[in-house]
Order: sequence, then C-alpha cells, then structure tokens
Amino acid sequence: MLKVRFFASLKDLVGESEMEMQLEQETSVRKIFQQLEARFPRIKSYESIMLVAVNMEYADLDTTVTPGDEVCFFPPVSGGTR
Amino acid sequence: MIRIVESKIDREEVTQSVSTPESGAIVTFDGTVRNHAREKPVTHLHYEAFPEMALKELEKIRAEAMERWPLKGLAIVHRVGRMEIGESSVFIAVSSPHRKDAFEACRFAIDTLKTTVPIWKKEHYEDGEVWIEGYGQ
Repeated sequence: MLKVRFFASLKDLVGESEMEMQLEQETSVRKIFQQLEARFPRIKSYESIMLVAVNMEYADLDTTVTPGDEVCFFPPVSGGTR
Repeated sequence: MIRIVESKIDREEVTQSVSTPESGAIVTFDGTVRNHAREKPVTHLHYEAFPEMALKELEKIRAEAMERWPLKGLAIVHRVGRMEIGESSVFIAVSSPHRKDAFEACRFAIDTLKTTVPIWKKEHYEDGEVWIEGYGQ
C-alpha cells in the first residue's frame, strides 16, 4: 500500500485529502501520478508546477517509491511578493 | 522556537525567546493580513499547512541561518486557520551581537519560508475565495 495526500487546491480538485493506493513493488512518483491522472484528469494541469514530497522530503516525478511510503502532492507554496 | 499555531501569535513571547545577553540586536518580521490583493478587497484569509513537513522545513531554515550568520537565536511561528485583516500570520525574530547579521538572516528566513515551507493561503473576498499559489522551488 501507498499513502497519498493532497493539499490546498489539489485537495479541492481531488475532493479528498488522502487515499491509499495498491502498491506491490517499487515504482516512480510519475507512475503514481499517471494513475491519479486517469482518475482525476484535471490534475494534469498541475504536473509542471506542483511540488512532490516523499516521506516529507521534497522529491520529483523520477523519485522511487516503495510500499509503505507516503507521497504528497501540493501546489507551489504561498509565495508572496517580496 | 519553531511552531505552527492555530491561535493568535504572541509576538512578545517569540521576541523574548531569542533574547540573550550577548545580543546587540533583535530583528523581527511580522507578516500581517492585508485588506486588498490584486486591486480587490480581501475580507479575511485562511492558511492551511502540511504541519509535520512545515515544521521540518522551518527547522531547516533555522539551521541554515544559524550556520550562515553568527546568530544568537532564531524563532519562527506561523499561524494557520482563519485570520482577520491586520492579524499576524507569521512572526520571525532573530538575534545577533550586531544588527547587520540579524537583518540579513531575518530576510533570508522569510524569503526562504515563502518558497519551501508547505503552507498555503486562501484569500476570501465578498464574492468568493481563491487559493494563492506561488511558483515553487
């Protein structure tokens, strides 16, 4: 199993803050995102701007995930004009 | 002091937490809720965090700042939940023997926070609400 969490506008778009996904062997964040995209096509628009964290460390689409990991997808953080 | 809180930030407490006899300066940054954005009146804000990771990222900022400048203390408190106009959403206090280092480190802390700490702001208007999202790392 894999725990997937969403925050801010991505949470609104997916409609839930977390879910579990079946995962038998290691894969990449990209593969996980592609599975999510099949269920929630609108998240595609986040692919180039979103941030990814695996086990609370920043990661990217090429990062390897293994069963038991927690993968988080979120929009860029609040920013602000300097 | 590194904290994510849901109630009003006690600015005096944060400032006092970095006070040491060796410090000749304490620089603070107080991020407050502005009543307008993009030429639109804002009624209030809502901040959401990924708290566990946000605390880790705030600790990283403190560690890096303490490494780069000769500081005596650095505290960051970020509030989440609903905030009214004028209230503090984030408060940073930095102490150092000489003011230059505290100014620079405080600037570094808020600028880095805005790009690496997973906290998001939603602006509320009379006629709706919008997530304000930056541009990431």
